[in-house]
Amino acid sequence: MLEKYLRDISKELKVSRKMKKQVVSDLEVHILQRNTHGESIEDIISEMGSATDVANDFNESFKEDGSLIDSEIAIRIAVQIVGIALLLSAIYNLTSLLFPALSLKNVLMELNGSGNVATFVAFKLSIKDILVKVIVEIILVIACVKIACATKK
Amino acid sequence: MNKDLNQLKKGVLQLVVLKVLSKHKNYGYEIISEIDAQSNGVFKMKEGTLYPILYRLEDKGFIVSEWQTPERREKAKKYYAITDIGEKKLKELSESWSEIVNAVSLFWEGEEKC
Repeated sequence: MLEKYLRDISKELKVSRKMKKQVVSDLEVHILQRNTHGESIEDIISEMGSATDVANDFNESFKEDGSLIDSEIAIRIAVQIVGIALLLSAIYNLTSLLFPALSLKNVLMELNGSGNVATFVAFKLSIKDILVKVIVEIILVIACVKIACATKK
Repeated sequence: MNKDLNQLKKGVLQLVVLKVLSKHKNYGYEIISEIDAQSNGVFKMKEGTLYPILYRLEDKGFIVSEWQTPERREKAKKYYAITDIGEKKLKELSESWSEIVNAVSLFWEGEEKC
């Protein structure tokens, strides 16, 4: 009963995972302390209110602080933007590798007609270079997803 | 009316918690009980109000927390204690609070004279 109550509170908390863990741990100790003072777990939970009410109290108090949650949101958004940019770059590079006709260089050559795109393409990448680039980008995308999930509210 | 009272209380809760901890180190449940008893039920704090205040005070270095495991089978308790910086802050807050109370009471004194 206590475990479910704490789990429900945790679900409704709009804070970082680290803070959720701290709140749940403190609440568990708090309830067990009241229990050792003679109150039953059922009575304590009933007196504290529904999981939603308890979580809302915490959310209200944390909202007044704001700073911790806001900085985490900012980091998450920044990581997500970088992740999306890397993903798009990886998709483009992979497409260029698999379908060379669709690469920017070839499209520009088609548009120019002359095939002189020196002003647009500073240097030529080999297939090996592009593959390494794609692999590095995919690894970075995975890292971004992991960071974004770790800071997820 | 209750909303107004809650707004007024929120501002002084940090001061009240620091005052309680300045007497002796204490844990969450006892802090709530002590504040409730000493204020004759006016400051009946909920868990969702107390713990964020404790986290905030700890972040600012005004209090520290430590887990203590009792000798008997009881669960470990997380004790909070005031720090030197916390003591200084408490002094500052107490002085500010006295100034506010004195200033506000002047309005009622003036009314009585009229």
